[in-house]
Amino acid sequence: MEQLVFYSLGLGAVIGALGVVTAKNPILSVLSLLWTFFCLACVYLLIGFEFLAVAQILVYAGAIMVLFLFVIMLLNLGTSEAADFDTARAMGRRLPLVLLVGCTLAALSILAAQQVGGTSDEARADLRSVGSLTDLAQVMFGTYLLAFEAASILLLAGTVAVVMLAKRERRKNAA
Amino acid sequence: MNIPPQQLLILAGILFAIGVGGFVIRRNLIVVLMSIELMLNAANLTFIAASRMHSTSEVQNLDGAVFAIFVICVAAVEAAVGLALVIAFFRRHQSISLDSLGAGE
Amino acid sequence: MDAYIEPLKALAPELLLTAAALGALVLDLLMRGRDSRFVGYFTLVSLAIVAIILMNRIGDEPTAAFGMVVVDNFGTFFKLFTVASLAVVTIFVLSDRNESHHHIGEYYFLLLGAAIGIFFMVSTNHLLLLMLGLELLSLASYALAGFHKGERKSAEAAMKYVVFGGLSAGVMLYGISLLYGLTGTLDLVEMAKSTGEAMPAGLAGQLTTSAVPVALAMVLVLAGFAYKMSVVPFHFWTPDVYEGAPTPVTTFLAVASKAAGVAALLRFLGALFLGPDVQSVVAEYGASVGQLLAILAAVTMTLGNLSAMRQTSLKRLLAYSSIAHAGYILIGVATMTGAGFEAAMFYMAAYYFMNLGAFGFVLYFEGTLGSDSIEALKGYGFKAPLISIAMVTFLVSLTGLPPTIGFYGKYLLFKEGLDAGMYWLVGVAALNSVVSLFYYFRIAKMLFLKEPASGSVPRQPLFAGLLAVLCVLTIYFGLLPDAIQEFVRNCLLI
Repeated sequence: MEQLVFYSLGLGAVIGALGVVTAKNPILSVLSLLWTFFCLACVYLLIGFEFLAVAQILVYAGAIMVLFLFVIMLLNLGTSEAADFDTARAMGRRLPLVLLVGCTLAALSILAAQQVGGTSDEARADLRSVGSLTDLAQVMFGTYLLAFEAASILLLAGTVAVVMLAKRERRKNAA
Repeated sequence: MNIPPQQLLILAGILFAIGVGGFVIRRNLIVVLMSIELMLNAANLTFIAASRMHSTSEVQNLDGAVFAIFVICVAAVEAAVGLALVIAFFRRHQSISLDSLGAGE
Repeated sequence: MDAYIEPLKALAPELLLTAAALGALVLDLLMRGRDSRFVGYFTLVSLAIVAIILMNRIGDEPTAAFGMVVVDNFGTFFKLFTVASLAVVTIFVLSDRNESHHHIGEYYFLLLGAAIGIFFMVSTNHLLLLMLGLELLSLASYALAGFHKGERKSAEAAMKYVVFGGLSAGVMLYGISLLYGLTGTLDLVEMAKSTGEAMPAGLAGQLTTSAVPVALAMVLVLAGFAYKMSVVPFHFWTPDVYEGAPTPVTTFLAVASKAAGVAALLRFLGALFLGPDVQSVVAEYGASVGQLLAILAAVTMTLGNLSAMRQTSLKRLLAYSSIAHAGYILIGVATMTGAGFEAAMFYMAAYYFMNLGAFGFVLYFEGTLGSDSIEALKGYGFKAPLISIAMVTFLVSLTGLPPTIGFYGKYLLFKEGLDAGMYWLVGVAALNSVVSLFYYFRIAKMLFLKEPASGSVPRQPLFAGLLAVLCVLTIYFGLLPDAIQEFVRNCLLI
């Protein structure tokens, strides 16, 4: 049963991902990506990482994707703008290269996955509690306290960078 | 819990390959940024699957799960900065095509 | 409580830098609407304090803090390098004639933020902190590259930087996740010393099963470093970003950011393949990674030098030259020996003097003439003799001719390359040096051998003084390299 659920979720995620890279309309891309993220969140839930599933939905779907949608709306990039490039022909020209790169990477990753997955096959009995919030918090604020603080600097720098980049230039600049 | 970790990792590999492929094939800057998000998600799935794989019922290995949280944080910041730049770029060029960046040699 | 005080002391430079960055931000808010120069002076003072603390650290026993940060001489060397180059970059910002000097407090905040990122990058064996430091550096660099976002080239440069930066971050993270999947740990030292009998198998066990997944993970992770160092095939962004970014930022990217990439790569390889407890299988595998790096080095330097010949913009030319220099540095890394790493570190020190000098010249010249084309240099040597002579010295050093520090740096790299048996690579590098002679001397020829155009150049005595000091040091350490070599030897990783 779980296997079946996983297969459908995985299939959904892959179809969504393909939708992201092939959709002509950027809004469709965003929605496909949203769907992929949702499927992945369900996968996380399925293997027992409840918190990560919630974070995935809250941060990715709730924040990042809204940001993408917001920018698309703000710049008014419906279909007209996007139609000028990324035409079927232009994409078709790059297709062989993409297939080569994509298939090689996928093949190598799958090969790697086989071996990685084989490293510990024993004793994965009852792991319901693997990703429980308490354990995660213990690791995050114990072992990785410093990394957590470093991430806070990262976020601050990101905020300043975004404010600086997105505000309109005050002085007139001759290009 | 009887999903073999191999299958999770294979799913991640496919998503990563699609992300890289999207990066190569698309010229729309916003879609390119989304392809990068796909790659980061593939990394996340690998981290989480590996974290679960390396945990036994006695010893938990949550390094990967914690790493995944940090990756989400990094992804959010990168998307924000990338989109801010897209806005600044659009103001100047009235375009969001990667081609309008001009081909460097 | 005490358990936190000791590690916090070990982290004093990082903490001070963070405080300085926040201070710069607050100062700028308080000074709203007025000159931002004061923030620049504040930055310089804080950098000086950090430098003093770091100087006192040299020679201390290595310690660890919070289980992730390694405080050792190797890290201190590159931290000092970062602080020193940041100080010069700050002076560049202060004397940049194209900068408005109002409302640019973020400039200093972002520079300091990038420095914090570098500090974490160069002093950790833990992949999580490495990734966070790298991202912090990248993020600040994106914003800095786009600082003049109203200008066409600056906006383009930042966009290109962010797109390729995102790609390399995604690729590197996937590589890290595979490494973690293979070994079950994020600590490089743990990864290399695990025997492979217990589960998870560790790097040794995985290598005996099959080397393909490890190779995939390794190549993906190396892509992240290659991007920071602008090594082929991750160099696309370099010319455009160097040309489009404000010149002080270009200097920062060419010197501090590249050094951070080199340092992180050295530490990554050192911890994984050359540490004391490394399994023999893993160490053997390191040799084949060295082979890969040797090929990358040859391609990178050749491509950089050949493309540099065709450039008409001085900044683009220096961008390609910096790609070529990344190739030279890789020779030392590819040997996979302590001595080779030492040569690479020495070359970084040499690179500091000559590249800061060269970019300083570009800044001066751009500020006075408003252009950075090589044509515009015609006769500049007669108008501004002092800094033009300094520039010629830097060019001689970049080419690798005596009596400059660049010569000794290259000599060390070639010697280590030969000792490691990579004759072909050293041959390619020597040929490349000859090629580079042509384009470096085209600049020198423009400066002095052409008829001067009319007009005079405004003076900036302080700035010219800084360039003169860099020039004197380039020659001084070229003649007496022992001081730096001793210093580098004290800071060795292995």
